[in-house]
Amino acid sequence: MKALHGVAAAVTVVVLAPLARPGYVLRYDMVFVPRQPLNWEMLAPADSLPRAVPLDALVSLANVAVPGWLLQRTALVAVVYLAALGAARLMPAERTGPRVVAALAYAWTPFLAERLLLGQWALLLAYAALPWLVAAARDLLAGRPGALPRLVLAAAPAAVTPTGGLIALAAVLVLLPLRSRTTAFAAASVLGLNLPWLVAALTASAGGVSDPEGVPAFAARAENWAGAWWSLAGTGGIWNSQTVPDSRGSALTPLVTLLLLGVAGAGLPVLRRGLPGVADRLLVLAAGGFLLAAAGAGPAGPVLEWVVGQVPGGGLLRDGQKFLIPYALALALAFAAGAGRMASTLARRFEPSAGRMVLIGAALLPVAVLPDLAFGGLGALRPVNYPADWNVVADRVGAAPGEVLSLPFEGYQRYPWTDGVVVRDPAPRYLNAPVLINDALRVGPVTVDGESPRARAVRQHLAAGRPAAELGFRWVLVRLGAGDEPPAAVLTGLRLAYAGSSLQLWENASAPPAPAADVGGRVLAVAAHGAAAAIVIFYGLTLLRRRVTPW
Amino acid sequence: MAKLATYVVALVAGGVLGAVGIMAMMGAVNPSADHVAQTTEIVDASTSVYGTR
Repeated sequence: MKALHGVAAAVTVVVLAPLARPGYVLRYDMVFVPRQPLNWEMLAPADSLPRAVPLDALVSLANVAVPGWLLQRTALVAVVYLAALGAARLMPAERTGPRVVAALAYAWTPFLAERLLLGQWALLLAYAALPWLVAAARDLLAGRPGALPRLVLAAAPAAVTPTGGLIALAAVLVLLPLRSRTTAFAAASVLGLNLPWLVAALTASAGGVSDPEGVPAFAARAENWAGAWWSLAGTGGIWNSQTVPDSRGSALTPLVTLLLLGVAGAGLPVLRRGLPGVADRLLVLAAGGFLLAAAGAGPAGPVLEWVVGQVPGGGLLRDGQKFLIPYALALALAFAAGAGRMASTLARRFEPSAGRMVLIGAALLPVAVLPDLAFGGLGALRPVNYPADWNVVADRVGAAPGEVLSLPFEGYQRYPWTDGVVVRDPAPRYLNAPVLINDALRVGPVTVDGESPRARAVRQHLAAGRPAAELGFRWVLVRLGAGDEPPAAVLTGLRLAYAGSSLQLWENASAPPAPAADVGGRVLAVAAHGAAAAIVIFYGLTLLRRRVTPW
Repeated sequence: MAKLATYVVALVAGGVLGAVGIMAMMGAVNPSADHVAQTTEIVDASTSVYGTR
């Protein structure tokens, strides 16, 4: 077992090496700040869909005790380490070799690389949690004590985002037999973990339906000559070409995917014997996830567009590649089982060292085919420092709280101080006040509309060149250095409260008082978060009461 | 005989892995790839793009 921890630690160190430098890794959706405030916007955002609920509240809470830079490193280390260790422990093999192969095949994947480079660390928590959840389901089926608490606790980190929560819920429903009291308990508990974002979505002013243009914009993408579906088969295929390791474009990559699938095919019978019952159910889950991932890039695209545009919550399906997580786990386990089978055959026919050679080769294959995941995507995960202006502005806004409008009205931008890396506007997490940012997303030449009616109104107002002062925000924050700075006419009627080289803060002295809070919505948000926390505490205590914790 | 077989297996496995590694590394550093060669470079003229397909 020590060897498996060693392998997990080694993979973690190699992948996250640049995080040894001080600062914050800011990439796309990954925004950590020194001290994220705990306010109502973190519990249930009033104007946007709850894409980071309950994640933001958890980060804010953890930030009370742990500084942002350390929290970020803890989260990223947990993702890689737990993914590798979880797959290794789940792998049904008596020898260490196939377990090591499973660890590398699951923790060194295009999926992990691409989502990490897109900054979606919270989704990767679901990725890291899935092997632990499947292991708990296996134990639950076998009637081992303590399995139900472990199952729910494994689902908890997955449920910090809506997508992860849905994957965890689907996993419980598919992995466990339907007509069972235990399944009902487990499903109800995992559904309870999903309550925070469900309640926030129901009480938010943002509409539940999304722009159907998001389906082609976020559909799986061909990374090489073999097409989008084959990219998915290798666990790649993310929509954003700028977060794809360059090795994925190699002409050889599709052939290695074929090799992976071939070995995995040979390993399937071994896997089914090693995980009786669970393996078949995992394959069903993986197939369902793969179909969802492929839907946007195939003939089912128009159907998906209808779902996204008409069904509340359908927008969760538009970036379908996210749902490859169960497929990635099934592929890693089957590949390791296949490598183990080949190793045993060769060792029997020739000598043990031949088998070992195959296992070493199989363990290194994921690394060899994706070498540019090493060292944080060859330096892509480089920490940077926030300009000092951010602290000054946070203090000014904190001293006189009020709604903030963040300009340029773009949700994602590149800045000189992030070395030109795209990052989501840090203002909502840095400032202790409600901050309105643009929730429309630009994907190349296409703009995918957001869901917030207020953001849409502000967008139209600003596009007409009218003053921001008329919008009623107490503060207007202007982020400098990214271009697209607002014209002077937009800032008419505002008083410059702070001018730095990276930020300007403008005050609107004539701003009306903030609109009355939706007390009912807040009560519901607190109740939902409380219910989810109570579920985690209950199962945690249940597990602690057992003398031996069979993790 | 067994030793010879081991050497053959090692040679083939090592050769395949080496070739895969070299090709993959060439893909990684090849500037003609249709996506970022250096993620820290500004590859898109617009500064407000979430991503590019």
